[in-house]
Amino acid sequence: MVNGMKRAVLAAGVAAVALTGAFAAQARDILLTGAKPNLLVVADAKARKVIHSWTLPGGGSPFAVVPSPDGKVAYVVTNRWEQILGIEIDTGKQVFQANLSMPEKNERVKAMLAVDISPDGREIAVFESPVRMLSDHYEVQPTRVTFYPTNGGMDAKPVRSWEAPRRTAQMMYNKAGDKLYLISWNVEVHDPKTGKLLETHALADWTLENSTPPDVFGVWAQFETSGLYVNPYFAMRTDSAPDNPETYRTGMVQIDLETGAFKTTDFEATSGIIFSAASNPVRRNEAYGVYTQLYKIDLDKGETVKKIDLPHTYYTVNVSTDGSELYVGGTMDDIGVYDTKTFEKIGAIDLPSGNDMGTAWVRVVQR
Amino acid sequence: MKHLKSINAKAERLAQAADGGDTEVVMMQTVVAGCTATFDPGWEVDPFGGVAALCQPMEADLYGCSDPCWWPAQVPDTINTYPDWNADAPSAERDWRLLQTVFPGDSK
Amino acid sequence: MVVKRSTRAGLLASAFVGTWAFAAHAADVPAFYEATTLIRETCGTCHTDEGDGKFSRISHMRKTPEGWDMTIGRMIDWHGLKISPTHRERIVKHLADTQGLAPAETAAYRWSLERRPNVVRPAADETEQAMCGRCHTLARPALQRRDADQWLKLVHTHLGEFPTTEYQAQSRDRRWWEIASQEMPQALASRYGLQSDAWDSWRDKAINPADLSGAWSLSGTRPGKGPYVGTMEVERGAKDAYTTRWAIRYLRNGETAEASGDVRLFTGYEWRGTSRLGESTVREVYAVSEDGRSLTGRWFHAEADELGGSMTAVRADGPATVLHVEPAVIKPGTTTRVTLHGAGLGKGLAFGPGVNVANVEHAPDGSWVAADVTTSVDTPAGALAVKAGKAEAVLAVAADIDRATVEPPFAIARLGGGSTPPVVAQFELVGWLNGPDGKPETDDDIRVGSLPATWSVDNFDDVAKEMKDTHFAGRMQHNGLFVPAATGPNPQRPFSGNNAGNLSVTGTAEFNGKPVEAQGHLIVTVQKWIKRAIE
Repeated sequence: MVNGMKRAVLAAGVAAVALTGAFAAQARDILLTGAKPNLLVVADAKARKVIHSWTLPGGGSPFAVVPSPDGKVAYVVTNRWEQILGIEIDTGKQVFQANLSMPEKNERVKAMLAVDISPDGREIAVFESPVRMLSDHYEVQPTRVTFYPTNGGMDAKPVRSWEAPRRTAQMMYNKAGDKLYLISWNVEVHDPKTGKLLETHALADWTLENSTPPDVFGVWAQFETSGLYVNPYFAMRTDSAPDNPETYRTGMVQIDLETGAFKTTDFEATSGIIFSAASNPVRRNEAYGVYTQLYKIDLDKGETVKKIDLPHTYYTVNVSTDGSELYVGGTMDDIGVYDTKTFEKIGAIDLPSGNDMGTAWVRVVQR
Repeated sequence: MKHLKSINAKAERLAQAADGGDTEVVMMQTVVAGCTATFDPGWEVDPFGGVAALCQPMEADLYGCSDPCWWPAQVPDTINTYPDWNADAPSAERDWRLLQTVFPGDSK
Repeated sequence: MVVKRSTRAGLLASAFVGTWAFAAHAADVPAFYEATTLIRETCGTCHTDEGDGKFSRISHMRKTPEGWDMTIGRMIDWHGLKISPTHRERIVKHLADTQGLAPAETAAYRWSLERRPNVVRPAADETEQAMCGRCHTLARPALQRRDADQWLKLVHTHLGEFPTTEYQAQSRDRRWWEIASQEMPQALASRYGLQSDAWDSWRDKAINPADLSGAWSLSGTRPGKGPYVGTMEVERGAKDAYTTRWAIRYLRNGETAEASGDVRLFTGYEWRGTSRLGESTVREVYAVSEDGRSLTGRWFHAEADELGGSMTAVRADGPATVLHVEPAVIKPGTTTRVTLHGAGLGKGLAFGPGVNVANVEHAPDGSWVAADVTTSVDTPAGALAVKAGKAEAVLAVAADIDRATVEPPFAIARLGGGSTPPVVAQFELVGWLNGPDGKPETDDDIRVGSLPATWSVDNFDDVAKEMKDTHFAGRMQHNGLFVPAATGPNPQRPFSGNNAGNLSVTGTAEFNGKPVEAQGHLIVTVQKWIKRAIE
């Protein structure tokens, strides 16, 4: 039996290798994002072209977009953050729906920014902020992580839930799927099966000398091609005068989703605003930050190595699987494509609707 | 507010004003230059005390504020309170003229 | 909820239904039991009837008329309440009269109700400044009264309705929810608790106010136009409802304007009026004194509340009161015609030792008294104590003005366009004498009022210069009125940015042949999409 199992696992492994090999020749990067009015947008990155704009049911705008590990289904937080919809990328067919609010408890529940899918594709973990809407008052409830099975169909019900720190803004599984990272005041690492707190990495409670606690905030998941989570932080030196520009520090929080290594790197005296960041899957010391400027940051050296103006403010930046291209998106109706080495603008993907992406995530999957 | 150090001398001056430390500077209270912490520019004034580092143009950022309820005192939130505020204007850059100022409670 | 009207006047005229839309039914005042029945029928589906005319939540707080009106607005927008303007106004009136704020409780926050632009009053308390003052003016908490349990419910309302509040930059620097839910309710209750001596001693007067009918004498300053004087006739209609006819004359250029309006009195002293002043509709927010013999406040344009004038009025039948002295400053060694405006004026005019008074004239109704006032070259610079019967006033004597200030020293203008009107900024140049101690910015400084000035703007700093803010942000007009440019992305600017700007403002005047100059700071910024009676 043991042997049989081993063989099966081995066979699956071989099959996976074969599949990867087969796809490698023709695998292409597909971008997934959202736009008004409640559109799931599917684009061929290299072709610089939107190939599908699927209209989602309900009224609202997509926020989080979480691809299944096989790249076939996009799970979208939409409808004013009260629903997660699963949509087949190729057909637009809806295959999943979780309604987070619970009318039977008078509970209005919002998916609060953080959501991810387990590496085996079986569960969606969502950070929820519930409020009871009672007849003449509101009652804010503790925030929690809730798990929905992806095979739950059109009325998926939660399978587990536990209280989690308020103000959690991002959440992601490690590669092995046995750790769930919650980015809040600090970084908490939960066992996604039991809710056990495995470890805590200090941010707000860090004890770095001569520094204020860092402000860490980001809501865009864009770590899938590199497996290295990066997110900017901002802090101030307490041993330096307020009128000294060197007092104000921008750095990068890094979590390696394969090894679990956690690090913070101060890389510049704050020279501008960075909304979100992503790292390069090939040159893993290289990270990119975006807002009205595009930044290239060397994480090993701890310095900004390049910075250019963008045509307007963008919220998101993601990186192609081969590490050669950046996709700068969110806010308006265009995804800018930039060469990771030169920062030359090498293309653009314009949304045919001309409508705003707003806060929608931009994800990269291989198909 | 004291522990929320301002980002430059100008903002520091405004922060002191808001703390009552500088009564000569009279500014509108809803302009919170000295308080805006970090990567989150204020609605009226940027973290540097000016306007050059506000989102550019504002229309790029408008639905990134309304939809996640980011400046609910300045921008109608579509998450709960004014769900259809921008429903007829899916591109802020193109359609901003269609957006209406809301007067809370004026339902007619 | 989202107003869809094309004209700016239409937009604002319809706002704040409960406090302004009373003219059509002002005579229809509900008795107490009727109001209670109306509240039961309108609010009772959600708010529990606690007996004795009390309802859950509603009966456990006190608010201004605007505060109650905003509450009903939230019930409409958030919870789907359907209510007619008539019923809304009845409920606001009843609640403001029986659960209002006493004059002493609103005194420090009149600027908010009067919608004075560019005012800041930092909280005495740092926690309240951070918790409330980063999104609202501090008038928002300070113009309500609740006990801790109701303040706590308000905290839950905030996060329940605006769930990202705890994530925003202005919250992330501290444990927002813990402070909001654990510290603030008690802190606010101790500052703004439901029970107060001020209200206990006012509540009877709130429902039995003085009769305001009769003749009034009035004065004020309309920034951009200068001081004005005038008269007003008030006629009583139903209880707490009045009609007015008033006329003003600007002293700087002699321009006159006539007005007629409707007034409703709330809480025994809160005068809320709507008048047609010349071609404009103006709102009046005044506080009537306890004896019903004077009122102070501000009127403002219905379609642009940043423009308006201060107002002080007293009964025309006395006692002697000086509301305004024109001019505010005279020179040593000259003869100047000086006019005192007010009520009960005519007798006993004196300007102090060494100052000669001749050719005294006064209005038959006592609304002004004028005289030729002669000072000697030796009359020291400073303030003359003027007497007009029992009334007292101040007239400055100076050969030079010591300094000037721009008011407001820091202002916000907002770009307008589409359905959103611009918000303009009106500046004034104010002259000062240093007073007896000869030092500027001390308590004995003498304010000599606004000076006719010329105006200019410049880029505030190098960034503004590089961005060419003066070119894009708007235009300064001759009277200190800054009119911002149009909103929308501007392809001519970097990043197609808006016409925002960071500007310095310079006002220049001449006094006694010498230039006087001062600077202010103007931020021209993007529009605000929500307009509230109490911001």
